[in-house]
Amino acid sequence: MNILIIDDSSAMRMVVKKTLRMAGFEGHTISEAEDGAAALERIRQSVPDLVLSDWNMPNLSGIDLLAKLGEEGIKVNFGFVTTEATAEMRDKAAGAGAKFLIAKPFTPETFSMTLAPFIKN
Amino acid sequence: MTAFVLPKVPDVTKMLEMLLGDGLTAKPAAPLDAKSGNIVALYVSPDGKPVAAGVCDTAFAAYAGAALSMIPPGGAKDAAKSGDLSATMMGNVHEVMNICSRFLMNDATPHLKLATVHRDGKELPDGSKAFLGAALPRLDMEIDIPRYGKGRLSLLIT
Repeated sequence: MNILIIDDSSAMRMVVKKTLRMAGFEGHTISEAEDGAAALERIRQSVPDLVLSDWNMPNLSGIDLLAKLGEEGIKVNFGFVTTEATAEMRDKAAGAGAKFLIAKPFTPETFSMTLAPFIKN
Repeated sequence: MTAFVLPKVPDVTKMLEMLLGDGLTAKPAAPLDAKSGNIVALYVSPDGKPVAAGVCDTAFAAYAGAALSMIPPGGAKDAAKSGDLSATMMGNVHEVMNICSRFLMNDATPHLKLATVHRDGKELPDGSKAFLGAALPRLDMEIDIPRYGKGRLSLLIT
């Protein structure tokens, strides 16, 4: 599977990759983008099987990226990995079409439970 | 009555352990001054008003900033001593402070988010200096990051 990780922190992208491995999701092709705008360009060229996106980012936020994808008719399994984890933000994410929201800080167990329906080993 | 909430030390320990490595410990410590040489993160409400802050000393910034990217401890100890924090270290401190925002709000509080991280509290805008001058509820901790060292981290809320 092709998995796209979007976060403006390179360290956090590394932590997400490490946590995917620790959760048992191995052997997948992982790509990265540093903000929503860069991710949009990448997704337009090749739609990944799964997107794990931060919420607050410069240039284009995760929620605005999700809206853009919807406007352009691009269908992709999209979920957030974010500190924005209040009920209000979860509702907003779900309303925009996000499949899940993983709150930072997270554990391999959270990744395993949440992502199992979306990642086929 | 505060608008926001402070975490418990074990909550912060668990979060930092996940990010920075197993065996990390945290314990209550003396307050850090937000206006004299320490790193200050400002959290704002949706209308842009500062409503909370994270403050850490150079040692915590160097050690946490290095541990998150697995930069060797030698370089981190040099940075802690000289105060010369690399862009990677500062970027990683930004992310640690960003994740701390989770602890300052819940479904019963207003929303806040990390706005800026200042290398030196002396460089803060005047409005923020005034906000930090008030006697705010706070949590002050000493954090010991295995292989790196000890530093101090404080969280302040309104």
